[in-house]
Amino acid sequence: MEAESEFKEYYAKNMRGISGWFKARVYTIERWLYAAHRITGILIVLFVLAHFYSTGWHPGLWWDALLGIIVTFHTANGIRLILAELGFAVGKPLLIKKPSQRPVSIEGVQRYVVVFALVLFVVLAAIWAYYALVVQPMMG
Amino acid sequence: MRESTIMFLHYVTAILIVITGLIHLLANNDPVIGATIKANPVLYLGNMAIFLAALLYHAFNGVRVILIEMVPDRCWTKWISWAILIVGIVTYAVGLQVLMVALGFA
Repeated sequence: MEAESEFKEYYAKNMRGISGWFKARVYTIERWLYAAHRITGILIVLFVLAHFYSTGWHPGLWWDALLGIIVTFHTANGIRLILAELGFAVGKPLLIKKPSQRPVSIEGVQRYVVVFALVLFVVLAAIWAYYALVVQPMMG
Repeated sequence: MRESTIMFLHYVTAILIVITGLIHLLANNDPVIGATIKANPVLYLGNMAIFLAALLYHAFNGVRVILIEMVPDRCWTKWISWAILIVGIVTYAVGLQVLMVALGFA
């Protein structure tokens, strides 16, 4: 009991701060997606503020493609987060009785949702890059 | 407002941003669809007004969540929430003005 309250207090105080975002080694891939979601979110806020300050400001050709990677990752992973929040494709909870059984969060439909989000990210980023690198220079 | 309501609105604005943001991107980057969208400037201004509101809510709430997580303190949470709300409303007012000028309404 003592150890449990100490454990809870440690996490309530958020002692790790920002470095805790990257404590991902013992978790599933979603932990990396979480860290990347926060970083891309902060980068998007920085871009949006610059874009507001000078209307229509853009970082330019290749940087626009990089901006596309940042934004489309945040979008694709955000769709995954909304699905998880609303309880879609989470899987039935499993009462673990044998060591061979693993929780649905590790071996369930969630794994496919992660793959779906990453594939969606690649497709959207490719479309964005096409517009940034091919269509925009033609428009002038 | 309850924290759960704030986060629910965070998800609602996320979906709004995907829709209105896509319209904004097509209007400025696709020669064919862009011309169709900009043919109706009033509707496009409405789209941008919704986009701006949703984007500011989502962005500032995201920053607020990170900030209150950094310092888990009731007083800090309260003050940072009010400060972010005021900064957000001011930014929206200024942003609407900029939009009106940029789209030729003022």
